[in-house]
Amino acid sequence: MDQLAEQIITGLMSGTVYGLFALVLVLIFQSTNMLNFGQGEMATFSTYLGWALMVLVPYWPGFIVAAIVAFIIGAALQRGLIRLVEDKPPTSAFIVGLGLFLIFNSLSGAIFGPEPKSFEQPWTGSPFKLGDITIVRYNLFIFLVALVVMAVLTAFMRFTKLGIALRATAMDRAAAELMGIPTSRMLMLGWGLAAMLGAIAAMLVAPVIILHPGMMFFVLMFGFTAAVLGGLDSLPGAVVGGLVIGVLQNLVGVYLPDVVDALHLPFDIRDGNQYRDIALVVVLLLVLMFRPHGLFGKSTIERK
Amino acid sequence: MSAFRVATPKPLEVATVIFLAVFVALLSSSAWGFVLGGAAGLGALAVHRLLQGRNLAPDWAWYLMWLGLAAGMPFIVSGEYRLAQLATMGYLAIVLLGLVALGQAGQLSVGHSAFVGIGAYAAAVAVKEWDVPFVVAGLFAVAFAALIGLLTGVAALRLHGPYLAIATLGLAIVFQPILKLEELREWTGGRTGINMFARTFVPFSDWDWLTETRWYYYLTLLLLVGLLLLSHNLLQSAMGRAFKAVRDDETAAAAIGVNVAAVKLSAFVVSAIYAAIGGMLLFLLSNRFLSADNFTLLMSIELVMVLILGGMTSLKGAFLGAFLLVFVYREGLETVARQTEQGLDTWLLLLGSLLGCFLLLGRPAVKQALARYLDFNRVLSTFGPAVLCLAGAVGIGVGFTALVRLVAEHVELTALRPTVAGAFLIVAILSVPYGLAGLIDYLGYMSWGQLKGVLLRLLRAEPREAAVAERRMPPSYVPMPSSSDERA
Repeated sequence: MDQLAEQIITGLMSGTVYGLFALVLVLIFQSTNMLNFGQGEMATFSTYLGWALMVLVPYWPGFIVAAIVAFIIGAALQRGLIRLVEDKPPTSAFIVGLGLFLIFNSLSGAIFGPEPKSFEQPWTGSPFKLGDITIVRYNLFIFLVALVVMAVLTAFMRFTKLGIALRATAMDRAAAELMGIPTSRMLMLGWGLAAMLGAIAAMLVAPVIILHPGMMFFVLMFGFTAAVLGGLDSLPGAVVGGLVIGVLQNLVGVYLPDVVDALHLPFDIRDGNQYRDIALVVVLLLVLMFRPHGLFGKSTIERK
Repeated sequence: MSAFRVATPKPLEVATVIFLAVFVALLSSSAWGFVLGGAAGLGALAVHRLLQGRNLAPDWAWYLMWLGLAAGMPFIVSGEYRLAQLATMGYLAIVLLGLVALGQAGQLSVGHSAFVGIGAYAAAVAVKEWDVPFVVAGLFAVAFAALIGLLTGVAALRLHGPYLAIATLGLAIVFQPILKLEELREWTGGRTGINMFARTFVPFSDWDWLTETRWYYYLTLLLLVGLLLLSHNLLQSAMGRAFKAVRDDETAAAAIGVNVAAVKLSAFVVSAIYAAIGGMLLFLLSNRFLSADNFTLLMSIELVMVLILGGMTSLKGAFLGAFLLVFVYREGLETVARQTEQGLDTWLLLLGSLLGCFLLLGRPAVKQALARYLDFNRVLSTFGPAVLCLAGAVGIGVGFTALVRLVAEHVELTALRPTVAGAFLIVAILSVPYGLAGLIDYLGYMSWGQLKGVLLRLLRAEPREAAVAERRMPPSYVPMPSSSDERA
């Protein structure tokens, strides 16, 4: 039982990062109607910047400066590039995302080298004990930082004029424009915010999955899976989707061999950890098949 | 005089002949290649005119020339490496043909590296485990890929919206971990992959000239031609028209009785099958060695990149895309990077100026600014802004060169290949969304006079204030001019 609780808690903690990244993807999808495949690579690039900064300065200043630089990169991209595809068909925006993927992926590899690097891990030490449950310190750190970021974001979206304007723009651009909201600037802010949150998520997971140019491939997929699970148009749904995925991943890693044994399936599985990522794609396909609008999305998506 | 006008080669025809001469010269690395390629082009042109005079489907002159040249290639190229390159182009063209068919149905997949991988691995495993002839292994690979395509498609294709992209992303990402599963190791070889270097798949070779590479080359060519004809017929058939109807408007297609889900699904399965056949050939061409690390998300994205740059509106695009990937992206940019590192600036200047041209030309805002502030239309006739635009492009080229020189001191330039490709992809989707094939179709029927007109229109600063103002306006907010203003 304790093992189960431990796995669930660990899963929830890594799930917050996936939730954060899913939040980023949904934010962009809602406001720009674009699936940004380059988001993960942009975040990787910012993480590399953070890594380079942390050689010179301590963790927190490096972290914050990298996040701010990510904000600037995101806003500048929206200003210089994404605005040009706004009145083009959605495929164009999608292709621009793929172009960003190629650019940022190769830039990280070319500038910082393809070999894996270790990212600084703050707040290390012996794990916490909660009864029989052990919690790795860094996992708790990820959880707390992601939670704080989400709380700040929620407060910003709910209680500040700027946040409400941002949500209005994402909801209905023409109506927002009529209300006197400078929607173009709001979209710039949205892209900057998304890039910053993506960079934060990437910097949080970087010590766990080891910094290398392809490190966000999987996180991008987890983010999309979480976003689809939560419903592509729901911000809270994205977070919940991320949590579900984190927990699921851990449970599959530990219990899949036992489950296969218990069901007397004609094969057996030695190491469940290999199936952690594969299981998610199965979940993704099942969600698309049986509940395409996700857990919290508007059920306007129709099957044909 | 009219006979002469029929005979005058059009711009596209001249360009094709020049391309042929240069390409064959490159492949054979001799001056004779230049003569041979040029002669093939001119010959095709002559036959074309002859047939045209008699109303006898003149385009076949070109098709047969391409086919003949492809069939003769093993005896023209300078070495096995070039032939392998051409065969690689062939299998990529097969994969891209499938993606073009999928594009005709309005869908885009970022997971086709997985289907290429499935084709390669399924064929290899079938040969390795059950010792079947390669034909049977190929059929098995095709069936397996079709099954996986069906499963993915059923989940994602019945939905409106971006779900296919997400589902195929999942497929591309998860393909590697599946290959590396411990439980599948006896089949897929786990992390080490499959190595059947020692085995040969040549069923007969009674003649000395038919070496192994040549055998695989002809197999690729045969499959490519067959699948090209198949695609052509498919897209002309009722099914192909249904593809296009779904692409243009799903609701309208459904209203005239097209089963939208079934059409999208069959397009996806067709493209999966094409990719699997390509993968099977990849297995043969890569020295019968497969590794899970070959089939990454990056491969999928490269495929989509050349699909867009080549153009997915016509079957030509598949060939152009394969050419771009093998000869421009891989070899061309590699050469550019190497020569630049040795201190040659010409390539950088050309690339930068090209990028500058794309950025500046055809931008009404740029042209207008030039016209407004400098009034070149009066001062320097129509070519003033054009000259300035081109000067600007060259200026961007110089800046680009300086920037890359600065970067090259710290970074290996070969690693920046995808950056350049990504930049060109973005620029291309903004300025020539139908790719090279679209451009060729557009220029194809033009005479020199029409081409001049198009170029002039591109260069000239046209007063398009109304269009620009309209773009600036939010979609639903259009101020009505008061009637008094209008009278004044």
